[in-house]
Parts: sequence; structure tokens; C-alpha cells
Amino acid sequence: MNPYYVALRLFELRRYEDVSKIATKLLEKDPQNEAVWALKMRALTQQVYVDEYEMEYEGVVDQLMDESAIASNPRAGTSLRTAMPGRPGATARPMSRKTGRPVSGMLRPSSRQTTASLRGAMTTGRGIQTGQQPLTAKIGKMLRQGTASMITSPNGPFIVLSRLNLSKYTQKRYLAKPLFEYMFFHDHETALALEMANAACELDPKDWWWLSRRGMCHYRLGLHREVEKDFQQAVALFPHPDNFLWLSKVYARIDLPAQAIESYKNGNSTFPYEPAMLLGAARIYEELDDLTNSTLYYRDALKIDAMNFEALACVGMECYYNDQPELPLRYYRYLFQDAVQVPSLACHVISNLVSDGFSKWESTPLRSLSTSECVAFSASRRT
Amino acid sequence: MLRAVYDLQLQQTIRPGRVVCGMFSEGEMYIAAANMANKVIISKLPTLVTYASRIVPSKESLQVLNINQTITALAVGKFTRDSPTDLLFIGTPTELIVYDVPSNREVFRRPTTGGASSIAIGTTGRIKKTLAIVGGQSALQGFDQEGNEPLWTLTGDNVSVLCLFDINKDGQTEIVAGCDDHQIRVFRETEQIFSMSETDNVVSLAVLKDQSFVYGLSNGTVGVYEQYDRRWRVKSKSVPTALIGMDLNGNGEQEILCGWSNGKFEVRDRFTGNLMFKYQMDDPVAQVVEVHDPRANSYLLVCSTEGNVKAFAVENGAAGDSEVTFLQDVSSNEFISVDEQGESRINIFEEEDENEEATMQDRLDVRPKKGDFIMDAAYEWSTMQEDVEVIVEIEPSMNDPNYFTSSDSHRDGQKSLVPPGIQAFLRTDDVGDLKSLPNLFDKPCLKFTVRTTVSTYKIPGVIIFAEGVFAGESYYHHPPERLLSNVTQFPLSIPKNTPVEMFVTVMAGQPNRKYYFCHGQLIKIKRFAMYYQLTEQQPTQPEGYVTFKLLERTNRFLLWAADHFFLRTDHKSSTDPNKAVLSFVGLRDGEKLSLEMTGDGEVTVRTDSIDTAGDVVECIAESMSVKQLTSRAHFPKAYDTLKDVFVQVEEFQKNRQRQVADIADRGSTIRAMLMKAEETKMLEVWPEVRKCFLELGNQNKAVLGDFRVQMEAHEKLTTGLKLVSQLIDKAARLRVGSVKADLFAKCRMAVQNRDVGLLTRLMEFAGT
Repeated sequence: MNPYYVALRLFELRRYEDVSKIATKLLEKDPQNEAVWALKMRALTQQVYVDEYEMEYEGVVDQLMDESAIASNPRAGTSLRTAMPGRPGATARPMSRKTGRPVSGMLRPSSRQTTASLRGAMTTGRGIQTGQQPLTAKIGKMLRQGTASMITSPNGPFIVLSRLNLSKYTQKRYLAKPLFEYMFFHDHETALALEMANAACELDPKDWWWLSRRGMCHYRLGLHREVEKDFQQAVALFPHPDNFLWLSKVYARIDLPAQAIESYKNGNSTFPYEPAMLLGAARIYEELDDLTNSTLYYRDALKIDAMNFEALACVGMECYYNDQPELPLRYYRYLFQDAVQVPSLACHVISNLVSDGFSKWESTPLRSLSTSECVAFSASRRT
Repeated sequence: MLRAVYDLQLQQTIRPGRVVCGMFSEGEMYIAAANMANKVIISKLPTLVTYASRIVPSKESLQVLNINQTITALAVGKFTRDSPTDLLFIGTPTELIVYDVPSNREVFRRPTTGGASSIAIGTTGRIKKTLAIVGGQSALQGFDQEGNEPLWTLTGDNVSVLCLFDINKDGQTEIVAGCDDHQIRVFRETEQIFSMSETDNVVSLAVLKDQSFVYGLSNGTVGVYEQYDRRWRVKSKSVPTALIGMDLNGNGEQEILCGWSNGKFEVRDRFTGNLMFKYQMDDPVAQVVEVHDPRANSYLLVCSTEGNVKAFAVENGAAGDSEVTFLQDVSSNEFISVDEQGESRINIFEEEDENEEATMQDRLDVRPKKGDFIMDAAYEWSTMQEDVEVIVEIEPSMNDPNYFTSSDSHRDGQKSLVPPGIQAFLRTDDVGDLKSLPNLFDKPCLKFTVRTTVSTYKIPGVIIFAEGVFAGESYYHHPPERLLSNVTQFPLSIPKNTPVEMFVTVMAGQPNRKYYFCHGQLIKIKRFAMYYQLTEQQPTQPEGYVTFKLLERTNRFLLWAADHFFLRTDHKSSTDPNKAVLSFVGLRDGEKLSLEMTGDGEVTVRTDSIDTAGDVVECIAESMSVKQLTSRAHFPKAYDTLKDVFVQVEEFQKNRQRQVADIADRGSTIRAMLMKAEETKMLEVWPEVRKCFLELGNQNKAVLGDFRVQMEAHEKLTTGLKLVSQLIDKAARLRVGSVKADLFAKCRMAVQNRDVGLLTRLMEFAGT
């Protein structure tokens, strides 16, 4: 069989390591073969590819030394950095010790309530919200891998980017995109990738793909205003879901939650069956401590994707602290059925029940728990 | 009429002119001010009932907006009438940011052509939507609520202040823009309908009632225009940084409130300019703001650059009573009253008590009506005896005809020490001494000759007052004592091709007397006075030219020329009906100018300066009341610079992206290193600390270097872009009527598409 065909097939099966092995062999024979080259780049990229539009850790460095947010002391309830004062009506949710916010159904990295100073951040333990992460961890994450790949591949790195004639490859459109992704995701050569994206955008200013990639480069460099511009243009040119999600992400990053939600809503009206938009909006509301709206959006997401863990957990949590402890059991049951392996979840549910006076609820809801739930439950009781 | 209420201390250094008041939460007024650190400070205003001397807002109650760019303008307003709160408009050197303060939301952010140095919110012309009108380096842009841009026009120079009102009673709102080229321009939508020449950069503008407005210049002038006519003006040494109109004494007429850079805050009468109230702040006044508090009457805030905000309540006690009381110092409760200072002023200069402020009242400023003969003295007064006449003559003089063509040797050479013309008026025994005197007439100039008809009336001095010609507006010529005679001559140069009115005061009498006779005369200088007519055709014609059709006979054309140029030959008699040719040389820089008109109305203006061509076309169109004029403009030199600029701009733009990325990249490493350095400090590993901070210092230096390079490139870029828009503006001046507006729009498209070829074609052939 033609080894290239095999490699393609393996790529479809997501066996990227094998693909890269075959491609390496093929390239030894014919180093000029662009098809193989592209395939190998794709395979290497796919191994390390991350969808970056999700929320992410915000390092202490970024929190303390970033001034891209316009308002440094905004009104309560309009910012992700200041919490809303106590909500009337509902039973107070316990505050998470790590984030200083009401506990959520889902453990998420991002929560950025911060008034800490640099010194404070350093003396009160590593990082504001992330227990073990060292202060400089964020910077290490996007480290260039130039030196690392030298060790792994005996014949030097696959592509020596510094020697590449970027403008030549930018013009070859079929190669430009895989090359960019390789540079960006695999080698983390952000500056170089940006240069390429800029050139490509100049070549075709109406190409949303390159605009969005340029935005991603700017994001990594911390040029949030440029990111905003890039994705606004990209959204206008082509309403790809990623574009909406990225736009919201950058708005959340520069602490403009109202606009982040707006962008999610725009995305939702274009893609009404995409739960990511609803979940995103719900998350922002949650961080704004607007739990009513947050739950509404989680529920909407559940209507589209009935097995969405995050939505199930969060709705369940809200119901529980809204004095309806029998309701969350329904939601948690789904979770148990799908993710029995998560004992912490079970523990959480049950310990909450226990601490709230378990006996009061004992009669009805627990009887309906399945065996596995009971196992988890009893396990938690023992601890 | 004014009572001091409280002192709010923001404790920030505030940029002059960048303070606004707005309702940033329902029913509550806030003050927003731009500080030197590129931040907007927002503080709630205390209620008026609180009588307090010093209010210092706590750190938590201040809202701070990070803009991260120099704030060039601040404004408050709303797009829809029924929205409960105001939006904050922030102008930076690159963009306009519209920010919704209460909901922490950016409405939009738009890049602007050449920054946003002034912002006004309102409607103009027939555009129904409320626009945020932004004045930049050379353009005026209007953004609507969605961030679309229904208004765009070129202004010629940086617009530093803007206000919107109906200036000419036509029922439509005009845009009045104060520009850095000393012009106050009036736009209706995109069309420039009028412009007023002033003598310095316009720094502040404010609307008054009844089609009038008040302006302030950076040379210290404050004046009032009613429609297009100036009513009065006052000049002072410091800069009027803030101006507003507000009715303080309840008589239904607005008074002018003016804050100066020396900390003076005054109230003047709108009609006469008389001082009504004066107060001295400790620091320069940054802004004077009227607060329309929905809970109370409007009151007044005077902000100093050190962040001291003084509130004055307006009290309509006895209407018409202009006595002023205010609490100067709350602790001592000392009341001070300032009476109206109301003597009328006729003299041109008058010392004003302790401030040594020159005040002049331009009652003389009567604009010429059509048909006025240009050299006619429109105004004359004299203390001379009846039989003595004072004659003022002006003529362009080349003096040294080789001045521009020859090398430097002529300029400092002693060749033409005694100009041939002057001898006639000198006593012969003086000529010997004259050699040691500097030669006044060594270069081309406008020659002034002032003469009295009686020889005993010697002229010891001539004072000329003219706007926009001399630094400091006036010029004093006095010949050396031993050369005193009844004739004096001196050279003058007028910087621009604008019609100038000179008020000439001639002193005359016997020398060494305490008093002299005086003679004052208003002289209107021809618009193109600084051109010297050549009798024969020049051998080399300038490359650039503009041609257009005029539906007039050559006679009329020559009449026009005689009105605006100094013609040395009488063309009226010797007219060839088919062709009229006039050629001139500019006395400023030796620029050649030739005007031709053929029998079928084809006019050609040959010059290498597109500015001069524009002046000529404008003047012809004005005086012959041409409503529509299309022309072909061929200025290869200007077009070549245009191409160069575009090449440069392209390069800058390419480099800019890389520079931005580089700086950001470095910034993130610096942040990480700072963290590390702090960490080592915490762990008290001192050698390591030293190493870290040294490294940090180096990185910091490097990033600063990068930044400087970027700044320089940016500056060049903006000047380049400004040059482009100014050229477009100049090309548009070669047309009249709808072609002009059309040209703007088309050129803008060409600039956006970076199509130099199209741009030059448009500038050359538009409308033909």
C-alpha cells in the first residue's frame, strides 16, 4: 500500500505518532514533498492542540500587573473582579475559600476577584487561587520548545523556523495554515506566528481564519485590545462559533463581562443549538454572582445537551442552596450514571446533605438513589 | 451671584480642558477628569447642601479608568434622549472610546483619522441621528450609536476644539471647529460653509445664545463672535484654558465664564467684554463646568490642574445686580465683593490695573462690503491740523532682483546698501551715515512709505496693528533720530495670502517733544500683496498649473486682478479681448505665479505651490460669486511627495506590527522577571536579588529603546497621514461646489485602499 495513503488513514484515526513516523520516513526519501510535509505538521500539531477559547488560569503576574481592563474600580456587579454584595432571599451559599466566591457546581480555574498586592500575593502562599502552582507557572506554559524538540528528535527539529522563508510559505495557502498551526501550537513561536498571520492578513484582508489566528497570537502576547479588534472583524466576516467564543473570552479577560455576555448571546442567536455559548454566558453570570441568570442559562444549555456535566452540576448546586434539596438529586443522578468514578462529586453531594441535617431529608430522596450512589454515599460517610 | 460651596480635592494632576460632568448613575452627578497618568478619574459630586471646605474622596469611592494612551479629549453625552445615564467619550491619539460607566461596558471603540483631539455630541445638518463628532489631526468624523460613520470630512489642520450650534439662523446645527492653523471653520455636515481667521491656535470655544459664541486663543485672546462677525476681544498674557457661557445674574443673558492658565477665573459681560467678577485659584484653571444637577439648580465647578475642584452655587438674588459675593475662605468667613468694572474703552491699548493686561476693543472691526475699494481707508481719525495730510503708501518691491536666484553672497553682501528708492526722501548729508546702518531693504518685501505733506511734521514712529501678521500682533517702526524726516520707509512681510486689515497709527511732529500729533488709519491690504508683477514673461514657466472655465470676459478678470494684486501696468486700457497674461513673482520665496485667461474663458494659474493656486481659485470664486467650478490641477511636485508618503506609510505600518509584538513579548518577560526578583527579595538571597534587578534594568532599557523607536515611527506616520489629508484639502480648494464634497469622499476611498494612482488622478481630474 502507498505509505502516504496509510499515513492519511492513520491521521483520520487520530494515530498521530504513527503518522509522524511514516511521514518522517517519507521525507527522508523525498524532502521536497509538500504533501507529506503538511501531513507531518498536522500530526505534530494535533498531538498538542488545545482549544483555547475556554477560560484559563490567570497567573498572579497577569492579575497584578495587567492594566488592560479599562475600569480599575468598577461598580459592584459589573465586573468579574469585584463581587456583588450579598444577595437577598436565597440561602447563602458557602464561600469557596480559594476564590472568595460562592461555591459553584464545577471547579473552574478562573476566578479573579483580587485586591491583593504583589507582596500580599507572595506572602499569602503560592498564587491567589491555585494551591500548588508556582508564581511563574504561567510563563512556563507557553515556553518556546525550540530546545526541547532538539532532544526528542535526533536529526534536529522538524522545521527550523528561523530559517524559513515565511513570506514564501504565506503565499502558498495550502501550506500556510498547517505551518502556522505548527508554529503556534507546537513550537509556541508566537512572535513568528504573528508575523506570518500579519502577512497573510495583508494578502487577503477578508480571510476570517487568519484574522482569528492573528487574534490568538495577540492574545498570547497580552495585546488584548488588538485581540478584540481582530475577532470583531473576524465575527463580522464569518460567524464561526469560535470567533464568538474568543471574543467573549477576551472581553472577560479585560473585565468587560457585559460585553462578554453580549457576544455569547450574539453567538447563541447565530448558533441556537450550540451549548458552549449558553454555558459561557452562564459562567460569566455566575462569576458576577448573578446566580438566577446563571441558572437560567445552564438550564437552557441542558435543553440542548442534556448530559452536559457542567450545566447539570451547576443547576444542581443552585437548587440545593435554594432550599430544594430533592431536586439536585435528579441532576446528580445523571452525573453519577455517567461518572461514577468521581468520588469527590459524590462526597460533595452527600456531605452537603449531611451537614445540612441529613436526617431531615432521609425519608424521601435517598431511597431513590441507585446502588452506586449508595456506595459512594456510604464511602463518604465513613470519611 | 456666585457663592462658593465646597472644595473637592481629587488629588490628581489634571490635564487642562479634559474635565467633564455627567450623570453616571441615575440622578447622581459625577465629575470625570483625565489625569497625567493616562487615567480617567471619576468621582461623585457632593450634594450642594453640604457646606464643606475640603472634601477628599476616599480611594475606594474614586473610579479609575485605565486608558493606557494619552487622553486628548473627554466628553459626556448620550445617543438616545431617553437613556437614564450618560456615556463617557474618551479621545486618544488613535481612537475614540465610548464607555458606559455605570454598566462597565464599552459601547464601541473606533480608530480615528489622526486621533481625537476634540469631541462634541449632537446632530448636524440633516443627519437625524445623534453623532459623536470627533475632530482629529486633519479630519472631522461623526460616529453614531452603532459606531458607524455617517460623517467624514477634511479640515485642513488639527481640530482642537469643537462646538455644535446653529450659527447662521438657518435652522440647522453647524459644526464650529477651532483649528491649529488659526482658523475657526464652520461646517454643515461635510461642507465647509465659512471660516474665520484668527491670530493663533484656538484653544477653547463655547456657545452663547443667539448665534454667538466665544473663543479663546493660545496667545491669550478671548473674543465673541455673533454669527460671523466679531463683537469684541480681550487679550491677556496667559492662556484662556476654559470658557463657558452661563447666566449668573438671572437677567436671561449669558455671561462668559473664563478660566486662565494663571489661575484666574473671571466672568465677563457677553456684549461688551467688561469684567464682572474675578477670582484667583492657586493653580492654573483646567476647566470650568456647568453642572445640570437634576436635584438642584445648575451650579458651577472650577477645576484647577492640581485636581482642586471648587463649586460655586448660582444665586439669582436681585436680578440685574451684578454685585458678587463669595466665600473665599470658609474658616475666616470673610466676604469679598467685587464691583462691576464698567468703563468703556476706546483706545486700542489700555493698561488694566494690576494685571497689565492689554485690552482692546475691536469696535473698529468693520468688515468690507462688496464693492469697497481695497485701498480706501475704511476708518480714519486724526489729531493733525487740517492742512497736514498723512499719506501711507504700500507697494511690493523686489529690491534685489537676483535675490532668489543668486547664491548667498548677495544676501550678506553690501552691494545694494542704499536702495535706489529711498534716496529721494533722505537729506543728502545723511547718506554717508546710512552705510553703517543695517539695510532694511536687502530682500524682497512689501514697502511701506509714510509721508506727511508738511516737512516740519516729522515722523518719529509708526505703530501698525494687524492680526496674524506680526508676532504679538503689532509692529513699531521708529527711524533713528538723526534720520527723522517727514518721510519714513520700512519693509514688511505678510506671511499668508489672506486679506489683512492694518491699523496704522502715525506719530508726527517736532522731534524731542513730549507730545506728538497722531493720525490713525485703517488700511486694507490686497490679498496677494506679496506678489511682484513682472512686465515681461518669464523664460521658465512653473511646472504646476490649474485650469478651469470661467464664464466671464477677460476685462472682468483683469479687474479682479487689479483688485487683489498690485499691478504695475494699466491693463484696463490696453486690453486684448482674447488673451490676458499676468506674471508675478512671490516676495516671500521667489515663487513664480502666472495668470492667464483666454477669450473663451479658459483660466490657467501657473504656480508650483498648490496653496497659492488654491488661494487664487478661492479668491476668484468668491469675488465673481462662482457657485460651481471644476478644474484640472496638475502639480507634479505635490503628487510626487504624495507617492513618497504612501511608500513610507506602508513601511511604517509593516514595521509597526512587528514592533508592537516585540514590545509585548518583552513586556511579558519583564513581568515574569519582576515576579522572580520580588520572590528572591522575599527569600532574602541578596546576590540573586542583585542579579535579577540588574537583568530587569537591562530589559527595561531595551524595551524603552524599542518604544522610542516605535514612537518616532508613529510620529512620522501621523505627519505623513496629515500631509496626505492636507494635500487632499488643498486639491479640494481648487474646486467649488458639489465637486469639492465629492472629491473628499472619493479621495478617502482611495486613501483607504492605498491607491496612490487613483488618488493623484482624482486630485488632478476630479469633476472634469
